[in-house]
Amino acid sequence: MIAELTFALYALAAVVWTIGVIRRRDAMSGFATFACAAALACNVAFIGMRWRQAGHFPASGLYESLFFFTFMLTLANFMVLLQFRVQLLGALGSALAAVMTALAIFRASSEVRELPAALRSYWFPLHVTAYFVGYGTMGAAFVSAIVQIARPELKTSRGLAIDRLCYRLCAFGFPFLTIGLTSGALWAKSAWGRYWGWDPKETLGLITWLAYLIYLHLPLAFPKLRKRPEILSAILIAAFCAVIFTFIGAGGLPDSTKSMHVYSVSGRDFFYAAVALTVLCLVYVFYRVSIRKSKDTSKQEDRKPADRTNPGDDNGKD
Amino acid sequence: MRTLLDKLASLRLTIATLILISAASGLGTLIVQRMPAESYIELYGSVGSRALHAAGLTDVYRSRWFIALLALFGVNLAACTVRRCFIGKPGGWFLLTHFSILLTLAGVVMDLKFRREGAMAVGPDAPQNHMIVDFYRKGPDGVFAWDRRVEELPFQIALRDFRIDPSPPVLSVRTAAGAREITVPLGGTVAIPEAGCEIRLLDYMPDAEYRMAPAEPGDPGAIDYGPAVGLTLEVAERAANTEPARVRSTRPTDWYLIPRNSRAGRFFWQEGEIALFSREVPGVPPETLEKECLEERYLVALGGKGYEFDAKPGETVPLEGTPFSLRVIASRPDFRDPSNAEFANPAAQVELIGPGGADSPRWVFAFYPDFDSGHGMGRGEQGLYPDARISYFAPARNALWFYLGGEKPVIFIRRDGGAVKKIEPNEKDSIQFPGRSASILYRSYIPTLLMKNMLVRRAGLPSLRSPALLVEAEIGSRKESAWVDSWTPEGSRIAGVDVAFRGGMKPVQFYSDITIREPGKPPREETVSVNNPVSAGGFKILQSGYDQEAGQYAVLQIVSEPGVPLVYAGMILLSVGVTGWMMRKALKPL
Repeated sequence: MIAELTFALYALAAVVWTIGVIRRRDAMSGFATFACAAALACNVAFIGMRWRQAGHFPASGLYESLFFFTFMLTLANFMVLLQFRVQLLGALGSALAAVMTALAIFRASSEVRELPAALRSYWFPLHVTAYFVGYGTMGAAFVSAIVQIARPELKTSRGLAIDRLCYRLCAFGFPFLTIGLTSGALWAKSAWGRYWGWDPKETLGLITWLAYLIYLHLPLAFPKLRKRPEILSAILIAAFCAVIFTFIGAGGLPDSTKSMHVYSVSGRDFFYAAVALTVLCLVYVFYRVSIRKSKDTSKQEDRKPADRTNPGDDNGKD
Repeated sequence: MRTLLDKLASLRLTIATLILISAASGLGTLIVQRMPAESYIELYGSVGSRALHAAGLTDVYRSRWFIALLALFGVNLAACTVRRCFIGKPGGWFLLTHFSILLTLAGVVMDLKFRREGAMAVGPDAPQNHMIVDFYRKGPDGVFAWDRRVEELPFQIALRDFRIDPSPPVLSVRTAAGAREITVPLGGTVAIPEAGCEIRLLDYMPDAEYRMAPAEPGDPGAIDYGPAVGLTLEVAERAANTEPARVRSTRPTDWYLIPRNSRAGRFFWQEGEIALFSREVPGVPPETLEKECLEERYLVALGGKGYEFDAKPGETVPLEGTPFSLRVIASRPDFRDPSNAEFANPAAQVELIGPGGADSPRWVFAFYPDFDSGHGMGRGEQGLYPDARISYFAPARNALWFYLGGEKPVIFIRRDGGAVKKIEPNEKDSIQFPGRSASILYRSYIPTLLMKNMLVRRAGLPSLRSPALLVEAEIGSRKESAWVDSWTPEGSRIAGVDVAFRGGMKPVQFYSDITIREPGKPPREETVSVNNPVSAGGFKILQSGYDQEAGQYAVLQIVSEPGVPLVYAGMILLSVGVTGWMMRKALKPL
């Protein structure tokens, strides 16, 4: 029941925030924030109850993993939301959370299962927590990247531009992805005798890690990109699509049946739904940006561009 | 020199290399890797399959171009690190991260060259000192295919025991207060307060089955089966993944019963099929048994009497004192292949002629004496004389006959078509009749066999396929215990409480208790379980699987990866380095 309530509250927050975005009024934003906070509280309660019920760390199987992921995602998104009171941020974050919880409730089996022998290891909570903290942070970075394209001028009260925040979020999440990847390899050695087997999910995990590694190095390799933060944001969005595919879409790969990590329930349709949602958001965002730009150019042709610090500035010294 | 270093250390080269490695890895997940050659032809056609093989896309991660990409990344990273040391001030985290990746790559390259991995199926009484290695290799035609080889190991492993930890069972308990499901931990107790009842799980069998077991006179449920011989079949079976090894399985003693009111049993022992058959032979003196293994004989059971005789195809033999006669139409050593002279499946076509005329011709089979098509067996219809049963005995190359007419049994044996030997065993004699792929052990003769149906542990390694639980129920002052099997839906009634198995008992951990013998070292006893490998002779031994069907062997994975220390160190340092490096960026003050 609490699982359904969590989903309902995420969906409610997403709907209220989306109405606010479309009507460009934030009168309901407080209510949406409250609904999202209540959903987060329910999410935490659900994880706690499930842990007690199952008797093991509640992140085995798609059902438990999705709720754990949603919790981390919303938590990270809330942190960003505290910096930027932007409805689009809340709408996208809670919509993503609602899609994930819906996938858990309507597609995955909620049956409490005994932990398989291979998962009975001290590596399990470490590996899974590291990955989901990483995924959650990258989810917040993904949402921030969409907002960055829509409103590149946003800054925190302490003067941090949103594109720099995207970069910092990625820099924060990347070590967790690294710990997830390496702990998985070390665990695989003790469970299956090899640290790397090119299993589809392992490979996708590596591709995702490489995607973020490329993103982190791009401003250094191509300094001109610092003037085009929307390109970096687009890469961040694509990288997160790779995360979601690795997490729930890998079941659709031709080799997935041989995988020891891929969930038996395919979330391919939900993956496509999430990608379609992202594309729709991006189309909407680009539409609004183009309208605003055309208005800006017609009214203030001689206006100077905003003086912004770019993501590469953060890492130029290293 | 400086220019070359600059080019090699280029960050743009890093990005290009990383994009190529990602793309190649993506291809490796989209195209199924290391499939049998015919599967590629089926999926991509002959031309497409050859193109994939030629491009190394059927084994991307071990292809030269992919390894070259990794090497390029390594060189680029090393050059970048060296350049940074000479020009500029490399940070500690930067150095640590780059060094850790180089360390990991070095370990990976070592393992690409020196890694050894194989599987070993080890049975309870078959120590092994080799492993089976499956490998994917390029054939002379440029097509990759799976191959297998046997590799000797510097140690020997013997399996002492194999155990499975099951999850707690779920029981359905029905009392006067109603029904409910409870999960009882093994060895634990669950109280049902509303019924004033306590349920305890005293013991369990991972694999149980009902078997007829010898009983004592007066035992409840004991049935008198008359004379019987106790035989054990020992079958040498080839275990999966153990090409040269054979795991010997011993079935528990099977009691072959001699039908009441008969004086002898015939047991046909057919090599290859490993089967024993018994047949009622009323009133046959032991001397005739010897003859039976050398010639074709027919037995017609009619009106409670048996008529046994030899006959040639085309002959019609009258059954003395009856209006019946049997006509032998044809006989052949192999029913399926009339040209085969070997006694593979000997059969005869006969026709029973009686007062109502000739019945339709029927086939009877020496190795399947219970099958008589004219008797309604096999065709589902009865002939003119449904009470008559006809048996055919062919000259078996391997056969055992038991004559149980007297105090002691008389055994006749013929092996490989040789002379018939007569054995008169004493009461405690145990006689082995070895064969090529199986042997039969004669254990005992019991003039009156008392048996009862008991729930017993299934032989072989445990598999949790058919668990049974010893449950104790205590309600008021009444306390009883009984076995509850997992396949009877209604369960058992214990102390007036209905207890049924509903679920649980899934394997959660597997243990192989093994003894490792290394040259020059005393044998050591170890336990391997999932996630807990043991080491021997530079190899890691891991619990991989077990024979779930027949419970004959445990499968161990044997791996040697000399690059592991480098990879371990690299990965740990990478985690530390990346965390330090990135957190500095992420949490940098504004």
